[in-house]
This record gives sequence, structure tokens and C-alpha cells, in this order.
Amino acid sequence: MPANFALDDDSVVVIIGSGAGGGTVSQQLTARGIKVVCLEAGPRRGLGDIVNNEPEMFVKLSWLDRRIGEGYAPDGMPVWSVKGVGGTTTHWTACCPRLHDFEFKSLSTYGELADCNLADWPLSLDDMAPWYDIAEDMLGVTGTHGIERLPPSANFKVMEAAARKVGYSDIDTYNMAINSAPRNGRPACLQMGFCNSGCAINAKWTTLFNHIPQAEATDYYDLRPDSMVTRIVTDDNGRASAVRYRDKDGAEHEQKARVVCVAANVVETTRLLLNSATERFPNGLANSSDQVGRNYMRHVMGMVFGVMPGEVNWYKGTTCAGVIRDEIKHDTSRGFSGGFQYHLLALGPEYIATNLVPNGWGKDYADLLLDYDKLSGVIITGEDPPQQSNRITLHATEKDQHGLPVPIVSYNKHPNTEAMLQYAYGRARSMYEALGATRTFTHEGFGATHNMGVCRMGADPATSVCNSFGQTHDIPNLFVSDGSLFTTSGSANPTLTIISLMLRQADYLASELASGAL
Amino acid sequence: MNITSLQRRRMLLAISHIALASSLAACSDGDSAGNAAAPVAETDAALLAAVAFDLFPFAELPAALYAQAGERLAAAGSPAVAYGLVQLRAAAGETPWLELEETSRLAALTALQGTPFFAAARATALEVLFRAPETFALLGYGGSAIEQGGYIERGFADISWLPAQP
Repeated sequence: MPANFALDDDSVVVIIGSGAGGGTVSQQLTARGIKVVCLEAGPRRGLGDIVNNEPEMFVKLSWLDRRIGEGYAPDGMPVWSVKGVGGTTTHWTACCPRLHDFEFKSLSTYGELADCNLADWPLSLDDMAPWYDIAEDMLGVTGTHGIERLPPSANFKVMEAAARKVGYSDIDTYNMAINSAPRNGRPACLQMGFCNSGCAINAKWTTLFNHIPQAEATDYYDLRPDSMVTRIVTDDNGRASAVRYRDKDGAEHEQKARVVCVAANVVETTRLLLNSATERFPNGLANSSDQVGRNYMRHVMGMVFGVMPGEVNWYKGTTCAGVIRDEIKHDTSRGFSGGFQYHLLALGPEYIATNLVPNGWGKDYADLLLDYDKLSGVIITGEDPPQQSNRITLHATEKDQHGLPVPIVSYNKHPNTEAMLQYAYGRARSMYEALGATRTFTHEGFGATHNMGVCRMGADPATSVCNSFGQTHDIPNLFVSDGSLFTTSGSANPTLTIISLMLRQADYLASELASGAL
Repeated sequence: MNITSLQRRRMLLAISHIALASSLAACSDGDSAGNAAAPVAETDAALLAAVAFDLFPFAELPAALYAQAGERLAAAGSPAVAYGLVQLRAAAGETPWLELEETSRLAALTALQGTPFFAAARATALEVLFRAPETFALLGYGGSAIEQGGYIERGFADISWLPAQP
């Protein structure tokens, strides 16, 4: 039964956000009988709210409040995240790779890169393996725990054939948190192809229809949607003591807290920590290192499309069920440090018409668009060098509807990123051309769906925000519980790592609560 | 499939007919002295519908879709659109836009690339055209799949032209 805890109940853990991070900590703590109040800025949607319509779902799900993008980050929508219960696990691709061992050790492996904050994570793949294992079982990741991989779609067959032509071999339909057969109360995928607009049948895992209801089935979960957190309150001892938020009607409330977990995704997590500044913490909470908001990473990202010699109908099938892993390695003979993967991609006609050729129009463009049914595509996800200058900050004067400073997402590509992209584009174009593509295209500069790094984990409080449990160095009962924690980005889609880190965080937090340390 | 300039001319005529019909519907029948109604000038919506067509010229699509795009853009009434209308009519001179030679229309539009007008016209055309079921059918896009049980039994894995894989 959903619980209802009093605002002055200071024994609760307050979790801000209900996505991959917040949803996981919610489920884990409540499963252990720990009281949780979860404040989610957006609404709670039902399965019936999800329709097979990309533009409609884009508007319905996305965080559309004003965010300024600077540099490479597109203004208007620098980050593509979800506002609502379930967070970005509503629209995610459900790709679930693990980070590789060397990716946890980027500094040791690559050495220093100019103008870059490379650092090894304060934990290793060995530390993470048991948590990855639990997460994969929980999500039902195909290719793990005896779960059969999804069947190959036409788009996958094109990608695989093209990849093999240029010598790639580590190719399969990927590790997906999308059921190939019914499992754990979720049905099998019907190959509808609208995965990234929300799965209308719950074949794709999301916290919205999994962790959240599981938490509510205990008596320890008080989820409050439409609750915009405006401030984390700290007491005279410098500890987090309460969370201030506005409800649907704009009325302000203050919920007392024993522990606060911030799982608001990088933009809102940064904004909240910085906005909660006090006399004692003039640079914002947990920011003695001055790293809050910095080291913002969004992965090296770009898409490659080929117009193939025959019909592909890429829109049919699990959109991203396919991967080429051969380039996930550190090999500087390619001209850059770190690795990248390609995974399968398909896009709807409106997005393609808008972006296939930037500002494309006219008869030639219309003729090109008539080949929509012959398109095949991949998306590149690569190691993104963390930089001091890539950061999320607060606008000096512009305020949002809550009176809070509007966030600025400032990001530029590192030379390593440019080199990686050009190489990756070249290889992918060759792939499609080897299979007879009449034309190939690249596309980049879209709102980031992978967002990491702004509260990085580390052993040293001078250069990091949190320890390996996501506990902030400065405030022991304040945790960061989302992708902000990533020390570096690696080449892996981040959600599985976020969930695994949160399983570990919840385990640690529960024992700290039990022992009275927190 | 390449569309001929004749098909494009036909589309412009169709668009202007639709625009004329809705303008006439909005007019009264002559004045109180019993004189016939004055000829209807080319409306903003008609011009913008023709622009939408020049941006994405699919002669196979219904003219009504382009008319819809033109109406939507005209109704928005933004300064960017007002600017565009002035520029395009200036480029057309004495000739109504819908009767202008295609090469002249395209030249005038090309000169407006990069302007807020162009961006607004393109965005509206994209929104109207690429969410329409007629366009889905034209492009071979299936649209909503859940009602038919997805593609698991409707050929998601079908491909005819790939060489046999090892």
C-alpha cells in the first residue's frame, strides 16, 4: 500500500527523482523496510498514456522547461530527459552494456590527455560485477542469465552484413532490457519499433511500471508526483535536514529528512545543489571541490545512415537491438584514446525529414526522402573526455516559473572526440558503402540522452564530489543517486551502470542507517 | 520516383483552388448595390501553402495537406512570417506568387534560407506533412503498430536483397 508520511517525520529518506537512480534506490530501501518519500517533479503516467506516436510522446514525456545550451549543446534542448515518474527510463533505448574494465581506469590506461580531467573510478569492474549481475537479472537483460537475445530485424541484418564486410565480428542483437519472452510479469516484445517513445506494452523495462509499483507494494513508499524540489535545507551542523518543494498548485512544503538522495539527472541535480547554497556553503552544497556541474559528459555521439539498395523498413522491430563491439578498446593507432560502440538505430519520418540533410528542402530532397524505406542506421557512443569547461551552471538573472535560475549547459567537443567521430563516421560509411549504399549521411548535435559526470565519484574530496557510494564528501547524509556520479563516461549506455551503482548505494545506505552511522 | 514539373504545376493549381475556395467561402456575395464581389486577391495562406510545397514537393500528396500547412503558418501571424510574405511578394513583383515560374519561386526562397521565416515555414511544413497518414503511406512508413500487434508477425525481419550470410 502506498504510504503517507508526515512532513515533519525526520526518519524518512527523501529521494528526489524517480528514474533509473531514484527508482532503484526507492525500490531497494523500501524492500528493506526503510521509509522513503520520493519527490518527482513530473506527473505520473499510466500505460494507456503511451501511444505509438513519436512527436506526440516527445512532447508528452520530455523535460521542456527552459534550458540554455551553449557551444555544441543545442540551445532549446541541450539535454533530452524525461519529466515524470520513471524519469528517462520511460524513453530510454534499454541498451544495457557493462562498462569495460579499462573504462573504469581511463587515466591509468590512456595516460593524461591535454585539457582533460581523466581519472580512474574509485571502484573497478570487479567491484561492480556482483551489482551488474543483480541488475541484469532484475531488468531481464537479454544475453545474460540464460535470457535469449532478441531476434534479428531487417535493420539488424543490414548492420551485421555491412559490419562484416569491413572486418567487424563482435556483433549481436545486444544486451537489452526488453523481453524476448514473457518474464517477471512483463510480456515479450512485439517488434513495434516505438521503444524510444515509451513501450506501450511494458516489454521494455522502466522504473515507472516496475520499481515504483514494487516499492508501493511495501508499506514504506510515499511517492509525490508533480512536486518540484526547490531547495535542500541544511542545519547548523551542516547536515541535510529537509527538502523544500512546490506541489501542483504551487504551494510550498518542507519535508524533513534523515537522508537526502538527489537523483534528478545532471541538470536538475546540479541546479539543486548550487541553488541550495548557504552562508556555510556559499558555492552550493557538496561543492568544496568546485566540481559540481563540471566534467559534464554526454558521450561522443553521432549517427550514420545509409540509403541501401533495397527496402529495409528500419522502423519495424526493436529499435536499438543490435551492437558492434569491435571498437570498444584503447588503441591509439586509430588516432584517439578510448573506445566506442555502434548500436542499431531507426528514426521516424519526421525526424529524418527534419535532419537527414540540415535544412534540406526542394525536389532533390523530396526524392531522397522517398527512399525512407531503404534507410539503415547506427549510432556511435564513445568515451567523452571530462573537461572543467564542460559544465552546467546557473544563469545570473534569468529565472524559471518557480523563480529558480535557468540552467546553462555548456559543452564543446574535445579534440579526442573529433578524432573519434571522424574515424567512426568513416568506418560506418565504409560499412554501408561496402553493402551497396547509394548514399550515406551523418548527423550529430542533438539533445543529449546520455548525461554524466557533474558530481563525479573519487577518493579525493579536493577533486571529486562523492565517494564510491555516491555519498557526498562534504555532507555525509547527502547522496547523489544518478548518472552525475560517473567519473568518466566509457562507451556504454549509462543506465545499467547507474542502476548497479544504486544497488550498491542502497546496500551501503541501508547498513549505515541500521548501524546508526546515518 | 521523379515527379515532373507538370505534376508540380498541377499541385500549385490545386493549392490555389483550395485557397480560393476558402477565401470565397469567407466573402459576402457582392455589395448592397447588387454588384458582383471583387476578385479575391491571393491570400497569405495560399502563398504559404505554395511555399510548403516548394519546400517538400510531393505531387502524390493531397493539395489539402499543403493548404493546411499554409493556413497554420498564416494563422501563427509571427513577425518572421510577415517578413517572409513581404520579401516573397516583392520578389514576385506584379505576378501573383502562385502564377510565378518555378525557377523564380525557388530563387526567391533560396535567398531567404537561414532567415527565421525559412525556419518557421520549414518547421510548420514538416509538422503538417510528416505526421499525415498520406505521407506515411507514400514513404512506406507503417505508423502506429500496436493495434495490429506490432511487426512480430508482419515482416520485421524480412529482407529480400541481402546476400546469404555465413
